[in-house]
Amino acid sequence: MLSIQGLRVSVEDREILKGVDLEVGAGEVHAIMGPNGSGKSTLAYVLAGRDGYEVTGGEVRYDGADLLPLEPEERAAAGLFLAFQYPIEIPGVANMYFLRTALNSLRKARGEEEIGAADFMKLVRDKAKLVGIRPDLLKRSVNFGFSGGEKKRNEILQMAVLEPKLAILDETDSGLDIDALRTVADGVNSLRDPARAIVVITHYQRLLDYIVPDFVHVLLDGRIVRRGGKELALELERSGYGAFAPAEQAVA
Amino acid sequence: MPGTQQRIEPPPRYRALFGEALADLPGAATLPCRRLREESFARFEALGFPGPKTEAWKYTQLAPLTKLELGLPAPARLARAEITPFLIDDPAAVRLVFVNGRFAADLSDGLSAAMSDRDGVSVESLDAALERGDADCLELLPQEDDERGLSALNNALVAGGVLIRLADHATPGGPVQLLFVSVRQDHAALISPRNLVVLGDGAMLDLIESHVTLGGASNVTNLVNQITVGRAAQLRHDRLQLGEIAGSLIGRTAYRIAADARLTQSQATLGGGLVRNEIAALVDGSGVELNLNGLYLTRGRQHVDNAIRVDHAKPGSVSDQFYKGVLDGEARAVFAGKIVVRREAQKTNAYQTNSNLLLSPDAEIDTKPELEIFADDVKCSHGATAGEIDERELFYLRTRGLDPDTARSMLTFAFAEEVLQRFGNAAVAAQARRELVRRLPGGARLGELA
Repeated sequence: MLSIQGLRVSVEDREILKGVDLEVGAGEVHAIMGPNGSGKSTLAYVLAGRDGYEVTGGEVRYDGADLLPLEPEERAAAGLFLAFQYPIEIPGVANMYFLRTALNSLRKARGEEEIGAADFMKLVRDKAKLVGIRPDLLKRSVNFGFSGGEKKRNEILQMAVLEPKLAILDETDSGLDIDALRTVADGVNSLRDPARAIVVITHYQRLLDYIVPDFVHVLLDGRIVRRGGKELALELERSGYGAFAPAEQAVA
Repeated sequence: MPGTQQRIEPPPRYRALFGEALADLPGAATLPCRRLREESFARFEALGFPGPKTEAWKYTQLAPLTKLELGLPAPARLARAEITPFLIDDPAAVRLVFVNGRFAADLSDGLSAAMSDRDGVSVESLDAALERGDADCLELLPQEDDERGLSALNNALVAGGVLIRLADHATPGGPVQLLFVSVRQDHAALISPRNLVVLGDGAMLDLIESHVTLGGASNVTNLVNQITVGRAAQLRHDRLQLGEIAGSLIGRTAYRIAADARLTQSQATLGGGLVRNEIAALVDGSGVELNLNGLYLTRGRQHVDNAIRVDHAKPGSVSDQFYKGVLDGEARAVFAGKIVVRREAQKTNAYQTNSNLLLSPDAEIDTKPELEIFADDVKCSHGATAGEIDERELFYLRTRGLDPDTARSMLTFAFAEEVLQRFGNAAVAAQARRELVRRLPGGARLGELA
């Protein structure tokens, strides 16, 4: 589904990603782990199409086609979703309305019929139930005055409604207490699907106790220095990222 | 007397205009009223208009306005249908309509009910009060023109507006809306309304003041609001300027606020050519909570000047100025917010924020905070920003599938909405919101937000 080869990315003339390879297939859950400044969020933003990230080498193919020329909304229409580390607040725009506008934008771009308010209401209530989110969030303005946990849960609700093929979760665990973490993880797990790929980006192993990945990749200084199964996350938890530093030379 | 750069000498035709108007102005038959007008006109001639070097008028030059060949307001009639969109739909409301400054009794309603139903509630057109030689009226009017030529001019020519008196603990059964409609007439008119509002101790009032320009009217409205808020009284004052980008409104609102009173003024300027929203709030007691919220949405060659002065004269009160602007076209907006904390006004909390969204490279914002603090135990803060739509926020919406135009419009809406949510009257906020959405690119798609 997603194939990244030799991806090099610079921000303001500073190289952040220095040749990243990653293959993600349908139905798989991948975890990308790394310390602060390793390039995790840069990878997420480049995949979602944010401005200001210059691709200087390599390629990204999504469903067999070049992903990089597409605008962010075109990527969304193609089924890509990014759950933000810091979701933005939109005062005065009800969550319900925002979600419907988003879903209908995607449907319109795909040449599908837009969904009416009543049908949407039912859909969104079902989805809220599926991911274990109280529907009262729907009446409030998008993320406005939400707690950190509510914001993250709202990202998962958006994911449930928009039904992406490829979901990238950027530091979804940051700032969550253990109960909120469990709610968010349960929500994500309920969206696991043979047709859907999920990439979880995280600093800590903690989240991976709840969202168990099929593959773990360790990103260090813009390169993936280790790959393995879910046991790699546990190893990392014990040894810390420092132990992986020498491996950088081996990879290079 | 101020120097030549500080004042603009009134052109001679103002005297002619005054002479022509005097016999027909409300209260002309009573000597005290006539004398008040003559004295005020003399004061206006002495004070003149604010000149190019007047600090408080730094960003708004009145010289072009003083050169206009203004005449007197002529009788004009409007059909109810023309003003219905601007009236709030509330059966409990008292609604007074003024067309080019003249009270339109046929378009107004709820007045007699307001007077008779409630004890201590008195709402009447200012003209009626002047005709009667109302003592309060004659005493209050000259209190506003000590140093301000425009107020003296308003006094001299005053016609139209309202006199609201609430006795202690009195409250009308619904909001009072004042709708000022400026319509085109052969000669651009100088319109001089005055609203006198007196709230007794513990009285409560929802006051709505709407201004609308129709038919490309190039009239100049020189408005003064003079409002006294008694101890522990509550006033919510919503001001709304809608309609075309035409004509001028120079409006001053002076508040005198007694202890423990709560006052929220929220204003949105969405229409008008040249608009000056002047606020002078005197916090004359402890325990006062004063909130001043403002939104200006400018486009074309509009000029909107928000000139605010909050004067803390007594200790232990709180004031907050919360102003936002969305600037498009070649429009220019000004936010000049002044906080004065006098020596005895210890334990004052006074805040001010002004943020601006620039949608066009040719739009201009001048934002000027000014703090004069003479007490040492106070909390004061101010902050101003001006910028384009945040790239990160735009990106977030685009990742959810929204096209850039819709995303920008939604973010602009959200930016403005933070002010509209603070309005006292939901129907007024809704009027402003409809106009806001109508103007946004791709607004049709966001129609449900309004």
